[in-house]
Amino acid sequence: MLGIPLIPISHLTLSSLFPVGTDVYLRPKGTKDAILFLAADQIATEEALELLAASKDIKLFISQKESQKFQKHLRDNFDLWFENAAVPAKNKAAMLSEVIRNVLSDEFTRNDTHSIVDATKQLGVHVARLATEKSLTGAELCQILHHDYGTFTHSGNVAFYCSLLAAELGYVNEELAEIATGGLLHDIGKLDIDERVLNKPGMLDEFEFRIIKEHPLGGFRRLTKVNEATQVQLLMTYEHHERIDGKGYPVGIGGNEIHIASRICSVVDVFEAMTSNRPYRGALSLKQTLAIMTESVTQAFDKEVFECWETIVSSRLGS
Amino acid sequence: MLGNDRQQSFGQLIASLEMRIQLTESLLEFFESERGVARTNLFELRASTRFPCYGECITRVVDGAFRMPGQELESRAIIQNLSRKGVGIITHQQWYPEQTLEVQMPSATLSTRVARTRKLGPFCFEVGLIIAGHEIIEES
Ligand SMILES: [Fe+2]
Repeated sequence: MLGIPLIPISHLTLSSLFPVGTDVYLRPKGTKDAILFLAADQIATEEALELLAASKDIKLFISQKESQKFQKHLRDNFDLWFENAAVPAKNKAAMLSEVIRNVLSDEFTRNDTHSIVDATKQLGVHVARLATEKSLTGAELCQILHHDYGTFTHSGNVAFYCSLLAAELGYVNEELAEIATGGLLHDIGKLDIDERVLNKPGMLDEFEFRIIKEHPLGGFRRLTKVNEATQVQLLMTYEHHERIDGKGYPVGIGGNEIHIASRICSVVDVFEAMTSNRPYRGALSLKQTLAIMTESVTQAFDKEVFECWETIVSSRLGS
Repeated sequence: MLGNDRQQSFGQLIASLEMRIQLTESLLEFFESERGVARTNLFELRASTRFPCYGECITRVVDGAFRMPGQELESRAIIQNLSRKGVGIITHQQWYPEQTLEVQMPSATLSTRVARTRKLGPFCFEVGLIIAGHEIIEES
């Protein structure tokens, strides 16, 4: 396999029920060369999957050239997987996360708000359904999701976290799906910001920061032009950088003036950003993140919402 | 004659609406002192000069335009500044970007679109409106 560029995939996107559609390679830790693990039409055995799950040292890859094919395969088989009770929630989450990253990456590149809202509506329904599966814990979800800081990865993760938190706070069905889609859309205004500013490694100057701060307003404006975007989604986009003490942006409203869905989004947005790798720093640990967020909880967040999120994710700290 | 009717109805109408704005200290100072050209800085990237003023107006949600829950259809507001392209008003309720509002003043009615809103204090929001069109009410 020398010379062929490879990209990593999660072992959770493999199943013992369906073939993966592309050749899959594995590379044990410390070795240079990848070897063929599964051919495109082969199905992984239960034993092989268990072994992969148990081992942290074996990484799976596909050829970079086959990335589109792999993504298409995931999308095409998604419903089949999702409806199948034999597929564990963990695997569904991993697959959905891949599909979301792929769909958002495509849609954000195409940059058509109508089409983005359309695509995210369906994904939001799946995310919400998964969030209500009791077998999936917040800690597991943190482990499964990717933590690179691209707008589409961030948006996907925020959607997962939003729905987990909203489900815990008692939201169900359509409302939960609406919030999940809101999570996918919340940073849509960043599509209007120059990537050089968005991905600048290091501190932003005042002018750049002002540009970044325009994204809730820009996102809201975009969504007002699309009938399918709901009021909750408009508000999540507009208000997710407001703070409970009224010192946020773009308006400076505080407390209950901020919609509950925006207060939910605000907590998980900060959490996601801190636990992800940035161009200028690595991801912070869960413990560090929660400690920093706790320090500013009364100024920045709805305390009750934050404490609920803390309970959801700190199960992993105890283990 | 038309102008007179409109002026009278403006006076009557504004008197019938409750003034619910709570002006902040700094706004009171602003209305007492600010004259000439409104201050700005390079970061605001303004296209035209704003002139501070003080006057009352009525904001009205245009028929069929989107409205957030709890927003009053018609309410009393204060004009803070005017420029060639926009008008700044102070209101007691929050307005959202892209909402279309009619701003009725004694001598003109403006068709506007909300550009941005900033909360200055309880029942006190600064709203930047873009002027889309106007109708002058002629004096008789
Ligand atoms: Fe944001």
